[in-house]
Amino acid sequence: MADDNTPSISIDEFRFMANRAGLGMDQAELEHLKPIYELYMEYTALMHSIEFESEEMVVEFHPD
Amino acid sequence: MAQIDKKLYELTMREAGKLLKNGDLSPVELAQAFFERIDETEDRLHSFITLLNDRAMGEARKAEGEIRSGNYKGPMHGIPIVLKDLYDTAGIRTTSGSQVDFDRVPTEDSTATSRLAESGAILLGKVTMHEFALGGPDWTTPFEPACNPWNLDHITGGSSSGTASAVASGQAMGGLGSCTGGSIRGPASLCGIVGLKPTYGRVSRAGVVTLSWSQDHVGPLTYTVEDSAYMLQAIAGHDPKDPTSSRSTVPDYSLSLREDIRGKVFGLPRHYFFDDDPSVNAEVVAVVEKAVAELESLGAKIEEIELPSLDYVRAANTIIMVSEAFAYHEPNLKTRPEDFGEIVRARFRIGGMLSAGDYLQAQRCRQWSKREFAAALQKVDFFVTPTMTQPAAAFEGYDPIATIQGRSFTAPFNVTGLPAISVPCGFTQTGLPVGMQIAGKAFDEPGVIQAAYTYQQHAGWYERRPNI
Repeated sequence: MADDNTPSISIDEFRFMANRAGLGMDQAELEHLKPIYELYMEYTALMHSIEFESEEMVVEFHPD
Repeated sequence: MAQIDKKLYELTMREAGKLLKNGDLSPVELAQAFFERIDETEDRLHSFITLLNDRAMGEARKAEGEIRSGNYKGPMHGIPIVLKDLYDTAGIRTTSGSQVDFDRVPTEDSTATSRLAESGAILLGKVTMHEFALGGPDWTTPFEPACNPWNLDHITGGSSSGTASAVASGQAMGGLGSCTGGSIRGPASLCGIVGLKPTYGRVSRAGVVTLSWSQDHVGPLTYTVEDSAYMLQAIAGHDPKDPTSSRSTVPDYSLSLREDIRGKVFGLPRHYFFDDDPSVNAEVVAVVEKAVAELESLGAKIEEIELPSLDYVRAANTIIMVSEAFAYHEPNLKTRPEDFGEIVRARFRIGGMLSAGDYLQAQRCRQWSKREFAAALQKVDFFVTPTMTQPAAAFEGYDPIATIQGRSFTAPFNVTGLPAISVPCGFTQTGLPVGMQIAGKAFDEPGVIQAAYTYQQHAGWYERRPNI
């Protein structure tokens, strides 16, 4: 599924992340999900590549 | 009695409404005709999860009595409709297309459900959908995927798959879908019908099972633009049960059913929607280019515009969607993951592995895009685009996970919350429908409806029905 340009992650890193999320997946599930997660890594990399203005906020808190 | 020169299940809501109002057609006769149509086609289409024959016939008899006694409620009175199976219906199973909610029976109606009931609509049944409104078709869920009435070997698109197949095939006059990345306009486009996603906050989400709180929208799928306007009228308006519900006044959408787009400016973001890209089908683009030329011939002005954030918006939509979905579904994902289908289980789990930083950057991208689109809409009245990148794919060889990649023509208007409609604008050489998307300013559903209605009346594609 993933091509040469797709970001990748090691299975150990991926297992750590899955455990941290409390998902408790076995090895077969991890191996199935990892290439799909790597597709999403393209999207997260894209989001982090945008140069936002420093005041480009998401949530504005209004104490009223 | 008036002569009815077409099959009852091929009437539009507007046509049926006139007959019902004048007593030339009974809601009972109409509902029966639709159940007969369902009987003759359902084994091939798989639109329904729950059929409500007895309940619907009771509602039809009630509507008949009301109309006879002079209490005609309006254009939805006596009209047979369906609901995507994530709209809560009191006492009626609401599965969200999943084993997780296989036996779930809500005790209250969603706001949209109850508003449609108040309008006098007749609920024929609950229809199938991609599990929890995300990704499919998936044969590892308990319900068979709906088939496209224009070619049964092809997908309907999703996630409002059953609503689209039911409406396009004449199993219902209209229905509600829900839309987080394109799940109303997409299946409408692929099945040759109209799909209207209103502005975020225009229609209450209360009692509609969540995929992504900040991107979920409620809206109709119908055969014509005017029918979508009637359905929207019935469900729009503030609802204290939905904290994101808008308090802005609901206009009379029937006033927008006028054929006039002279002088209106349609922005064409060619760089994203019309230029060559491996994920975009050239035949679809050519069909929509022709439709855009027809808008121009009707007096519209077409201006090419640049929206640089489009290259990032699909990513933002996806990250926000799966992150919020994980937050909503986390308890079930951890305690009974085997009850989710393979596709949704995978994508929801990924939502749990994204970071707070990923989610926040996606939300910042969303703000950028929202501001950019709003600025462009100071210069143009609408955006016009193809609705989908591709015509309906064949089931055989279809890989829903692969669709995570590539462009999305619908997601930008979920991310920005702007109103957008898909209207049929032609067919491919192999007879598959193509839709054109028109999007407008926040809460300018009247403008969007009028633009789409003008095109529809000129083009007349709604007169074609699939041969099933």
